Amino acid sequence: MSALVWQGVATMTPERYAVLASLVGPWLEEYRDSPIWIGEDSGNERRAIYIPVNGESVACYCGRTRPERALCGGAASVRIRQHMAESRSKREEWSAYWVLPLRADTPAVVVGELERTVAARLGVPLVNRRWRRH
Amino acid sequence: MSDSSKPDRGETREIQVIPVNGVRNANGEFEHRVPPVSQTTKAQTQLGKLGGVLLSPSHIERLAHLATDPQELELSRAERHRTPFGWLTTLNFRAYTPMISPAVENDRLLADASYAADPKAPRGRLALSMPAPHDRYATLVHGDSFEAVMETVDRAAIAVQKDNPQDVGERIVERSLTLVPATFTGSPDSVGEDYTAVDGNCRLISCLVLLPVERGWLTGDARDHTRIRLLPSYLMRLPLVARRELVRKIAKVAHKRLAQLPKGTEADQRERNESAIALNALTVPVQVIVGYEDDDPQRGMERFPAAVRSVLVRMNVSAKKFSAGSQHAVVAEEVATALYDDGLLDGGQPDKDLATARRDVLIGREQVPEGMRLLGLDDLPDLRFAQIVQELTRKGHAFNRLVRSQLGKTGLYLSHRNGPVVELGLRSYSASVETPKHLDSIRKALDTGCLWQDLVDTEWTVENAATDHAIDGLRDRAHANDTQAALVLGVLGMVALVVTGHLRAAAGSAEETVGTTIARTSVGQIIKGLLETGPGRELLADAVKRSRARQPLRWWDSESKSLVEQPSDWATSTFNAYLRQAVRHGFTSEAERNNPAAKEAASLTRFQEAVFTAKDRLMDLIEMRDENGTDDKIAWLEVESTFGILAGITARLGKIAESEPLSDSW
Repeated sequence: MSALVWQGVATMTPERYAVLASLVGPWLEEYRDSPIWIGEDSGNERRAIYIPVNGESVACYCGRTRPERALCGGAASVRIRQHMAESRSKREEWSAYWVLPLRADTPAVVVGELERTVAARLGVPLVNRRWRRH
Repeated sequence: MSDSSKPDRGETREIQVIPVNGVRNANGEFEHRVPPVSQTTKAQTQLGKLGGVLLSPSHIERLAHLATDPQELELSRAERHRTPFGWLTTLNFRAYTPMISPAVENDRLLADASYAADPKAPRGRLALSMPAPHDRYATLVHGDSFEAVMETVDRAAIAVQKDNPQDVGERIVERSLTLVPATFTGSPDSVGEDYTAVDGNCRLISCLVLLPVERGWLTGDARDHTRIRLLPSYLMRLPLVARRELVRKIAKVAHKRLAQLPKGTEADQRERNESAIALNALTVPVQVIVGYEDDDPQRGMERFPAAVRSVLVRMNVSAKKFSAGSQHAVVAEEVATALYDDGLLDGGQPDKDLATARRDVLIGREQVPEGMRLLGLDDLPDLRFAQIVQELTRKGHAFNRLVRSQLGKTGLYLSHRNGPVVELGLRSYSASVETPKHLDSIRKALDTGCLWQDLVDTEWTVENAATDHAIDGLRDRAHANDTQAALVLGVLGMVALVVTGHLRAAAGSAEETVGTTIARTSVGQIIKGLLETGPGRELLADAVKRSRARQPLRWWDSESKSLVEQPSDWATSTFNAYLRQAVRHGFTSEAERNNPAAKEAASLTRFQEAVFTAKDRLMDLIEMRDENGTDDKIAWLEVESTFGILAGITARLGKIAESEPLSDSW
């Protein structure tokens, strides 16, 4: 395998999830402090911040869901499926994901701010370096 | 001396008459000779036999009178042009300028006209109704009163001459004008028919103004030698024979002037040039639409007007005076007409009346109050706007394919739907906004995008929310997550905020006004943001009610959690800035915004992002060294301070953060 693309520094644990959940505050829809395997459904949330992790549970990335019309399962799992189809490095390195489900009425701007905050706390980029430079 | 005040232009250059056909006089010089009627009769017979020609006998007669050389017409061959759903037949030849008329509806002015869709539009200066197809012939039928037609045509002529004058006179017109046969049902019998320019208005008008005409020639009063500027309406009122006689007169007088021996003076040369210019402007090349064949023979001439308009839009895409607004207006009308033609406006029931009502409401030129009533709606401008948004945000294979092909796009995105929505919607406000500048500002705001995706993704219908009570009902249902109600409320609120100037394109100074960042997104996204919050929905509903009652809009006060009058020092632009701020940061009070914990959290985020960026920059440097094969170490003196800062960061962060938990594996 080539050099790792998704090199995180923070390990996702239930304790860290608790910290992140407190950042989300009143917008959190449900407390889900455990990883979900990629390919598994995340639930029925409409909006979410999600954190893919690698085999060592190190956070690789942090993203937010896009508005979807025909949801099949939770918004996070839909978005993860899209990621998986996008690039090989994601398929090879990501193995599970954590979800911070947000209330359906969370304004888009708040979702954006939360995504930024969570990414900063985890020390992961909003846009991977490899794509940022080209 | 009076001459001394004029710049010295030097000697006036002699302008030559350019021959347009083979007619020569006794001296072997080219001369315009208006052919005798006998020649036109022969051409008429030939034209009648030509395949693909679908004209009434009187239009054929007129066609033969148009040509500078009827014999050329006899030999000409019909050409076929493809349009979205049929074939147009055309003939190419050179015609006398005064024999043709400009476009009855100048589409360039579409964005600025007054429409019947606006209840406050003055009667009398309304945009004309769309031309209808003839039941047998390839002819446009104009149903408006002849006076209204004359007024519009002259107004358009004056406008194009000012906006887009063409360089003719020394040169003859070289690019063909496109003409279409037209019939005026509202006119006196003798002048009920004409050929009007679909394309080439500017060239035509630029030629007409160069023709020296005396008023007596038009009125028949031989003593009246007053020189007048030729307006299209003067020509359109003339019977065919008189009109042709006018051509003969212009040519005769000009040639006579040129036949006089030159005196060698400046003034003489200028007069001679005027005559030469008139002769050069007397003819234009034309491409006349003479027939139409629909792909579906059952439709006959039904889609002929749409085919003609499609020719126009394609021709003018690059002309600079054809503004985006006018282009959208033309396309929007085509879309509406095509939807109607294809039965996509009948709402699932084969009800021709309802479909007609929907079309009339969309286009907004005529029968608007009647149409709204048939659709079960009060004749309110914002409800009509909502109806337009609803019709043009529909989804479905047939709808998408048709609109895509009309717009000439491969995909159909929100931005594509936006242009037509804006132009058709604004027709409800064509006369009621205070100034043209205000209308521009409204258009600019809407052009940022007044739609949002939910309008397309969800099936919704316009409700007749004509009273305050009905608006309150919408708001309460929107609070309870009723998407249908939220979308109707959103569109009505959007119209209210934009038309009153309270929601505009984001201004440069808005951040300064509110002292923080704002949502610099499209109008549609702002509305979507407002619909997501309770205060936003309250504000939208209130804006609809208040703008209808022509009262000042109210603002949401986060402290008292209620609607309040705007502070007296607020301009509409201030409202806009705070509205955008609220969408970005939520309707929070000053105290909430100043929440110290939230501010500290945001500050930590910014610090962490900066650290991440710093790491990225270092990675860039390391990669660059790898690529370049650089082995030399960086001098300590160059990086000493950086190490100092990094150590300082670690130490100071350590002081304000918990210490790292001890690892179990120790």
